[in-house]
Parts: sequence; C-alpha cells; structure tokens
Amino acid sequence: MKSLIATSAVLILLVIFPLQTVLDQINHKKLRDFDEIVHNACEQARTDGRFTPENIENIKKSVTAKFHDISEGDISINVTTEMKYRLDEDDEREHINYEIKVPLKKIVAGNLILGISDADNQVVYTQKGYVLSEVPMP
Amino acid sequence: MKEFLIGISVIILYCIINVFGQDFNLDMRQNFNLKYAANECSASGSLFYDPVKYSEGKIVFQQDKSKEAIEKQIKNLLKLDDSFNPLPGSYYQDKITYKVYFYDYNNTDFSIPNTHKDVDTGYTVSITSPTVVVTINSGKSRYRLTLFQNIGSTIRSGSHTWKDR
Repeated sequence: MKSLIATSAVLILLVIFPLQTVLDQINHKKLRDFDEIVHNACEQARTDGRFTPENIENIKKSVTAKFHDISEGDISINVTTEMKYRLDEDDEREHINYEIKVPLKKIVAGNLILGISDADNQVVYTQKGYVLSEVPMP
Repeated sequence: MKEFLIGISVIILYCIINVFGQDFNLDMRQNFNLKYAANECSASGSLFYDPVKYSEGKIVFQQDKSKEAIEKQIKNLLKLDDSFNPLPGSYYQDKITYKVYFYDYNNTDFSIPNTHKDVDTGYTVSITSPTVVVTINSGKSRYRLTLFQNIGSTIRSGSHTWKDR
C-alpha cells in the first residue's frame, strides 16, 4: 500500500515528460502551419500589390482553423493595405510590409503542477518582414 | 535505492529526448523558413531587368540591382547585420553566405533544353525562360546537446521564372 501511494505520486510527476513531448509536437505543427499561411499570403500580396481584405480574411480563417484555442480577435495583423507599385528602385515605396502575431497558449505541460500560471505559460509568435510588389505602375 | 536510481535515469533520458525533440523541430521550421527566404529572394531579384532590352522582347536582368535587392531581403528575412552575421535573437549562429545565378537572354539560349543543378544541394530546375536562382547557406543549426552540434550546414535553393503568357 505504501509503495502504491509512493508510485502514484511519482507517476504523476513522470507523466509530465511524455505529455511535454506531445505538446511540443502539437506546437511545432501549429507554428509550421502558421508560417506556411503567412508565406502564402505574402506571395499573394506580392502579385496583388498589397494585402487585400480577402487575403487578410483568409489569413484569419486559416489560422483559427489550425489554432483551435484562439479566436480571430487574438490574431494581430499589421500589414500594408494601400497599393504599392513596382518602380525598379528597391526602396520603401515598393515594400509591402507585414507583421502578423499569434498567441501560442500552452508551452509547458502540467504547468499548474510546476507552479507556472496560465498567463506565464504562453508566448506571442511573430512573422515580420516585407515583400516587393510585382504590380507595374499604371 | 534501485528504484530511485532507475527513476533518475528515466528522468535524464526524458530530458535528453525532449531537448533533442525541441531543437530538431526548431531546425525543421528554420529549414522551411530558409526555403521561403530563397524563393522570396529569387522573386525579388527577378524584378530588376533592363527596360530597353525588355522593349525588344528580351528579359536581361540588371544583375547589380538584383543582387542588392536579394541581399536586402536576406538580411530582412534572416535577421542579419550588414556583414551577414546573425543579429542577437536570430536563430542562426554562423555567417550566412549565398550564391545567385542569372539565366536571361544575355547568357542563355532558351531554344535548347537547359538545366540548373546546384552543386551543394542537388536542387535541379529546368530553365525554359528567364530565371533567377538563389542558394543560401545558413551554417550549422542550433543543437544544445554536444552530440548533435556538428550535424552539418543547412543549404536551401529557390528560383523564380518569368513565363511568357
């Protein structure tokens, strides 16, 4: 009986490790999908000359479909929405900027057992950069 | 005592597995991002062509301007300083190097089959139209365990092609 109680207590602590491995794989898949969504959206923006409302809506829908624990309001999308044209000069006038952030809500498995609050157990993942517009000046 | 030692061994083994798993996943994500960077750089480089030749129906890249745009994109996407060394907070730890290949009406006969094959990656693309190919070598990946620290460099290639409509 004594052994059973001691083993149960130790098992609860040891089960955190395989749970952490599983959580790492889930988070890796989410971030991988997020990167792909952002990169595809940027390629679309390059040919459109800006991030269109349809493109932004598509980003939100795709991200919430992959991240089941967040809503569209949790996603921060700060992108260029005014038209940018190709000027053959490679300066700011051609840059379509993007900064898209998404919260990753669970990093450590069994955080409450380890004394980590839910607020501390999350991070904001950001994809930021620019692409050059391919749209010629009319 | 025996159970205690077995328990400690199991915990150490789990820690090694978790650490390697996290580092490997991060390496795979950065590998994908490097591929995207190569694609994006080749797309940026392909935007700069000679307008006089273009009016004659030929695309000839302005290689100096293209290289400048490619270098700016590499520094932007991979978080590098002006010497192509990683900035603090960047995933990479070695100096980044790149190669760019231009295939246009100045140096390529598109009427015959052409193939570009990268010597480092084996990346092969058929050249049928003006194309810019960029290969980026990001150096060694970050592994915390000493056993895996010399796995090898990550090199990815990407290309962007002008297609006639």
